[in-house]
Amino acid sequence: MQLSRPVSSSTAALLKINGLNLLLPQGEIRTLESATELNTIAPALCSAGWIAYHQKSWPVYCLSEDLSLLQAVPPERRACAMMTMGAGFIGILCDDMIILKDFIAQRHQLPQAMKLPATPILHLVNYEQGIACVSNAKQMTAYIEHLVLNTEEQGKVRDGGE
Amino acid sequence: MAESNAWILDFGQHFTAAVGAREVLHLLDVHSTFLVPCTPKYCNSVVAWRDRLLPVMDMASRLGGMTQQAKFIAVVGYQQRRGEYPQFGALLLSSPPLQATVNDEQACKLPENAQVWNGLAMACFDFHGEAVPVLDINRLFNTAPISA
Repeated sequence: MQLSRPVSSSTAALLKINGLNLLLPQGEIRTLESATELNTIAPALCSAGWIAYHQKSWPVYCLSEDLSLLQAVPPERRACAMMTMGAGFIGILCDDMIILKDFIAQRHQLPQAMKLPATPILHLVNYEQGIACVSNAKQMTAYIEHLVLNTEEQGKVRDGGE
Repeated sequence: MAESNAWILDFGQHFTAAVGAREVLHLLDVHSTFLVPCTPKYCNSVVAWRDRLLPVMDMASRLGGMTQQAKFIAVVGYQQRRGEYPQFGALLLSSPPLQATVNDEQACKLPENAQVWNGLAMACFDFHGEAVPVLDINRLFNTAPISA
């Protein structure tokens, strides 16, 4: 692999999702809500429900450690990170979130052989005894939209629609 | 007669291939890998090696077999172009590499399942009656994934 990029330093939010460390720019996470606030009545397609924030309800998605969408929310997902999405927000459930102030890490490119077209992962960094996957709000929302659209298309095929 | 030294690598499930003697740099413990989401199932983890994170390739799975429970990881080095900095990757192995000396007379056709190699073999030689493809490591690690 590809020489590592220089060390970068920034304040980051680390979302822990069943062993996965997902690192996002801290400025793109507006607040952390409790998963108990989740309203599960009439959720949007593939979402786990809604969370009210800034006088509006925003869709909340539950991801697995391999970043596939989960319909049933595991009990470990106790928190919901509200991430900016254009002028609005999107919620991502996580087990825990840690703010890493002035986080310094060596960036590693995602190897070419691993880079699927829809991946939201921008690069990898070493974190504690393992790794963290680095993404941002733009990549994550595009990825979730991609998953939702795929599910919708598959549903149409199954139902025999267009 | 020109002779070359090679390592014969056992990927499990009867998939074997050879690489140049200088292309295998290190054997590592398989327990030190880290899963990366949204990656192809045959290359879904990385291993830390000398301040780098190397992609770990499961060749058995890459060639259409089952995902393997490997015992070893071979760190391999290659160059995209002559004179450039070396690149590195890792291959899952079922058993330790076997060294072999190969000459031009051993050249042969790819194994019967040639289509699974799909450009990943740059040559092939006969080794004790078995056709052993020579792996194109550069192409293997620098080709975009074939599927999720």
